[in-house]
Amino acid sequence: MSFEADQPIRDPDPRVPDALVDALFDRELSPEAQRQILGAVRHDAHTRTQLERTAEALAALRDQPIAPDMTAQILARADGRRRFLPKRLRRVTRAARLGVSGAVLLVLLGVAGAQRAWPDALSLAPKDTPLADVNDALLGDAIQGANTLRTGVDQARSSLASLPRCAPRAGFVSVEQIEVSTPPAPRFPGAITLVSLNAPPAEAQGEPMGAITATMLIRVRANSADARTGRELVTIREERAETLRGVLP
Amino acid sequence: MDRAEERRLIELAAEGDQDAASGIIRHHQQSLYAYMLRMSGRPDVAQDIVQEAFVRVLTNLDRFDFRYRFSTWLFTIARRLYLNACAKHRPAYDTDMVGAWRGKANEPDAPVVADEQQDVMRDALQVALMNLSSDQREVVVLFHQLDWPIALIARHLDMPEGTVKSHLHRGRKRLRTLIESRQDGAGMNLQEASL
Repeated sequence: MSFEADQPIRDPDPRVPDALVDALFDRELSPEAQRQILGAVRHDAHTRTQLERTAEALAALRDQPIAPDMTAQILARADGRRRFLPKRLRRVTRAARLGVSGAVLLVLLGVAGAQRAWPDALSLAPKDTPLADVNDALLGDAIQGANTLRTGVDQARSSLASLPRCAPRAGFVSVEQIEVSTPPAPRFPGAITLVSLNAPPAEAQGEPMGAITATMLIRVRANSADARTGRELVTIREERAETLRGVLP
Repeated sequence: MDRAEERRLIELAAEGDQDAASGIIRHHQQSLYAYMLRMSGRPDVAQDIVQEAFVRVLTNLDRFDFRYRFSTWLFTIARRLYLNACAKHRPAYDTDMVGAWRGKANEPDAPVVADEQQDVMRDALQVALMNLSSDQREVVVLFHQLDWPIALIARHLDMPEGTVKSHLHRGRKRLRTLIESRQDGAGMNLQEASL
């Protein structure tokens, strides 16, 4: 910055305002205004000295320090956090990224299509179990349990077969029906299914012997004849549930 | 480097091109180092901050918004690193930094007296800068050393333009006063020594 100006001094006041000097250093003045101020400063020794010293300091400030080339250190540090790739590998990486993106897109489209075709097949949300499924499961458990018990009941019948058989008549009692219950099904805790073995009633004189792992509903009825009309009367003498445990002989 | 070229380099570097990253570093490291050296007064601190700022920028290039100037982003990150370093421990001014200036290294045949005068001035300048407030020092360096416009400095420092100007005027005046007093003191010392 030169402080020698060719312009004559127009303002007789030799003191240049600080605000103008600041505006000069702030690069806010037009070239014409700059020339006027620099011309005025020639006759203001105090301001001229300040101006020169400030300009000298700012000129020194613009003298940039020598920066060491830190490229290698920076790249090494950056490479430790995020790898730089050679050109060929970069192409491969870009192609791989595109491939992976395409594959992901295809999978998503496939899932969307499958979802549309089979809405229930890919649903991850918990679904309500239809009551029919519960009934089927219960029935399956019941059948399995019944089959197990059927063997025991058959054994019980065969053991009773040796007892004297007699036709229902007055004064005799008979076991009319056997009902068994399975143990609680594991899939449905607490559920007990009653199964009726639609078997012909096992007749016996007296109570059945022994026990198996079943509960038998024993209904004892008595047959008798009406003395006046002669008609047969059926009277239920006893109805009880009895647990059969163990193996019959 | 024009903005189109800078954008091309940034995009390449973001994809992992080391040569492009080198180009970016070489283009900006001089001004960033000068800025940090003026602010900290210590070459080692300036180098460390410059390197860390570049590393952070290079590892986050994919987030750069091309609506803004890259240098502004870089300088903002460097400034934050510097302020963090100051918050931890204030970097002490290094009195041996005079040799790091361009004039001494680039002009080996310059007259010794002129060289020494330049050194005295640079030393006085750096001492005076370190005696400014942080805001004054930063505004003076950005405006007069790096030629940033007032509006850009205001955005960079997140302060109104009027405040920037106020810091600039006070900083400039104080800088001159400090250099005058230091040079007067040095002159007196020389006279005493000659007696």
